[in-house]
Amino acid sequence: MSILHSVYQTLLNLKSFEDYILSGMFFAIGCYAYLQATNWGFAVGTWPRLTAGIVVVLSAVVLLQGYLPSSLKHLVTDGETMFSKRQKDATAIQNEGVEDTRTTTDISPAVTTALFVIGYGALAFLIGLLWATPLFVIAYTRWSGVRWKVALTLAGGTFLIAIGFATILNLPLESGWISEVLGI
Amino acid sequence: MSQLAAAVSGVSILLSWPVFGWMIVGVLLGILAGALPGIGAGLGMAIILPLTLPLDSVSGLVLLVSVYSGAMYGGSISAILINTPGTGGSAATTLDGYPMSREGLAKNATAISTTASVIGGSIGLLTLLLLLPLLVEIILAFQSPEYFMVAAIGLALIVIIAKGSLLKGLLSGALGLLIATVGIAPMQFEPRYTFGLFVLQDGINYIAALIGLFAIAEMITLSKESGGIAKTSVDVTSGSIRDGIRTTISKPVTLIKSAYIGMIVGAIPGGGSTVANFVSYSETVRSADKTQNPPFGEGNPTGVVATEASNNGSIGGSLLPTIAFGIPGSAATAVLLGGLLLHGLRPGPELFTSEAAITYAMLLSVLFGNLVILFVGLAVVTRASILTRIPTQLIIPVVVVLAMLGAFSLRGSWLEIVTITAMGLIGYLMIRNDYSVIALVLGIILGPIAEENLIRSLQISDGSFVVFLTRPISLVLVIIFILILLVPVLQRQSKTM
Repeated sequence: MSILHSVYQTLLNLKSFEDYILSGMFFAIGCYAYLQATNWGFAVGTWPRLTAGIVVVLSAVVLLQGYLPSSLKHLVTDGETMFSKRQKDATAIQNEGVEDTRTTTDISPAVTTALFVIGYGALAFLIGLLWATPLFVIAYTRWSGVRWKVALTLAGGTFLIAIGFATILNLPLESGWISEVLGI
Repeated sequence: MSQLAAAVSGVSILLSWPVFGWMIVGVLLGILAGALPGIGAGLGMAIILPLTLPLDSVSGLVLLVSVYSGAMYGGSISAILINTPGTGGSAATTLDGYPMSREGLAKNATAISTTASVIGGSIGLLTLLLLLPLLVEIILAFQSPEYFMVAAIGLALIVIIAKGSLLKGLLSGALGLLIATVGIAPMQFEPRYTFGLFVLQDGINYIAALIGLFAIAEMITLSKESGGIAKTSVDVTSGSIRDGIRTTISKPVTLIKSAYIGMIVGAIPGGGSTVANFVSYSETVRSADKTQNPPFGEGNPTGVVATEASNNGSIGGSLLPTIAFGIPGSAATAVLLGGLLLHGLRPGPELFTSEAAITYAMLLSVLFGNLVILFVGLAVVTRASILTRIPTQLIIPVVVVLAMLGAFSLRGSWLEIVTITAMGLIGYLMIRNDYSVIALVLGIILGPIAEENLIRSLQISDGSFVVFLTRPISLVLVIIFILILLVPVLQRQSKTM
């Protein structure tokens, strides 16, 4: 199990591996979208074919970046985008001679947070957003080491916000898939 | 009644009770709606619309316009403090506003946002009042080729945005355009990429995509840290409201230019504050001195001035086609159109003749509402900088909950939950790998406008692209489009040579 975890960590920390996965995914989406669009007529299919075609070509170039001539390679690898430089990592704006102990390069908290978000969405679908909200908040805050008292207070606060949304916007936040199946 | 007499009459109506009171209530509700991710101007106004029924028509319409104005400003609060744009019109504010918060300058950033919003909104509205007859003529001349070219110019801005990895920037933009094709095809009513699911026929909601790409992706990034959003090494109380105001006033060119970009783009149906926000930001980046410190995207105050002046500047512009032609440029103005009809007023020339006093009262409520925004923004919102010191372990679950609730409230559909989750994860991976999330957002927003008007233009011209060159306004837009594409590429070439 620990070997698997170590392999997983190594793969995730390999930026080029992630890049290949991402561009490979875009390539697959582009190919599927293009093939689908060939079944449609001019007015319906022209725009999707055009955009999917561009996605296929550009993602293929990113996938093959290692084999590109140096004159073209800089188009893929030329530095950072002016926005991504800020966004790509929380560490980016903190390395200007200022020591900051919060920063860590460990990816685990990010993966766990992503799993929490997915779990929250899935739980909300099953039991309804209203009930899933405090459960998510308690689970997340307790995982991140927040004291029970604070966790429960925050869960109560977010539960009230959810009730506010349900009441003012008349949203069916209390019902999920289970309650619909059981007819509750 | 002359226009001047109508304007004077409009002022006296607006300053009468209870109309003035409803204006203040509207601005405050708008700021709240704008600050809550997923609610924004459109939904906020939609919630309030039925509540205006018992009010007289002037009070009801002033209330709606004031909510609109307040929400345009309110969106910047969450954009600056937690990197979550409350409205699409504040999406570009996150780019420099949030890094300022992280540097302990949230107080400055919110003060800049307040003053730029107020000045930009006022410039836009005053100009609108002065140029009303001329603007009506220009808007009437816009047809599908011009609409397509405006969208194309927006997409061409990707070249400016993707300053580093140009190819990845273009790929992100194309992917955004592809995502926007999901759902019923415009004008054809044929489903595309819906996998037989009814819920996908309405397409991917761009607000949900925005929330996922900005809020969820950022929360996943923040989870790797402890402490607050602002770095532990900085003092969040060290920022200064006065410095923020001074910074804004010291950039008159950016202020005026952004307000006018907002006004013009806002006046084009389909343009709206979101497009205006990005166009204005990109233009500011393009025309600015490249040696600025901090650079754009890393907490440059000029970026906040540009985006906030433009989104409030777009209010005046977007009201024009709604009132004059019944063509809403955005969801918010569509609700306002509903409000006009609900109160027995038909958009058209009558609103500038027999009902001109009501029209002026509505337009001037934006101007007077700005004073409320100025007071609330400087006295209350700037104090919210303390939020950036709250530990991320507490901020993350609250923002995720707000994002989920806001997304679900868009259409009451689980598709939005899936959208923000998927976009959050994809956005996080894209950011880590130097893809431009902003280019993706631009593609999603502009895709439907570009497609619909391209197909319509080609249908009009029997498939000939010459239609874009034979119409004077379209030709000017084509030239601007080519210049935007060529200039940065030539600049890169000259640098590498």
